[in-house]
Amino acid sequence: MAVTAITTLDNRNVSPSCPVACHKVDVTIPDESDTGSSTIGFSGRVVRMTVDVPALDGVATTVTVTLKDEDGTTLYNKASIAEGGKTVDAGMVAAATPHGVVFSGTMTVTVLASAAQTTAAVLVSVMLYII
Amino acid sequence: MTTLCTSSDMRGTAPSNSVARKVVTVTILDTASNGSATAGIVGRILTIVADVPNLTGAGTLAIDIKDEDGTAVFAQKAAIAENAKTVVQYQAAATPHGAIVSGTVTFTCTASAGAQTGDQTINLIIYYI
Repeated sequence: MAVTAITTLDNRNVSPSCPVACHKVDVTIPDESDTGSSTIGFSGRVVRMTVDVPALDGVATTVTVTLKDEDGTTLYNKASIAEGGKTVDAGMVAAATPHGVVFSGTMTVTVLASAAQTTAAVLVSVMLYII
Repeated sequence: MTTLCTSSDMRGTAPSNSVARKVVTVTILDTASNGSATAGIVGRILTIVADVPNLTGAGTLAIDIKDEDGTAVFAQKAAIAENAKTVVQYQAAATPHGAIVSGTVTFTCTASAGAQTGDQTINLIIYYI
């Protein structure tokens, strides 16, 4: 029996049965502040996020990422994300929430640092993986 | 600023599994303890954000979902706080597809404290696939 090489269906590198959209949301925490936010419009289910946090002012500073709907209602919250690296979080998919964060509209992504940033503005990137 | 990283289209929407959003407004009329509203929905309700006003009397709100025959399609969601916006999950380990509906769906909101003084407006923001 001949062995057939497995190939992708197209050249987009998209899973044909369950496409995943990946969106990078840049959030700036202004100088002399501890929080910043940005918005993104989409329709789908957030099943994972990767948070890229630079070195921050303060000792052992962490950040909290919050996903909110258009009315400011918190849909998901992840605290204690370390500075100086990328953190993968798939906590929105759990036994009680197998579909993750279900959403359609304009989402606000808020980043709150545990200490005010007093040297310069800080850029935190949040990658949202949406099915 | 948001930047599209990779996607099979340019709309910021997952191509095959997009989520629909519908707002259903339920009014509990003066002297009543519950009210209902209908909506046409075909799909699986996974999440409802309930925007509940300050109700008369100390109490909470309950939500019932019924089909066109009056049959409950999901267990009642109770103890939803007043004067708050609450994320109510219908997706769960035992019900990964949430509340499955097709047709005209009736949403009933019931105040646990009984009759209300003045009309009470509850907005249900329904997310379904």
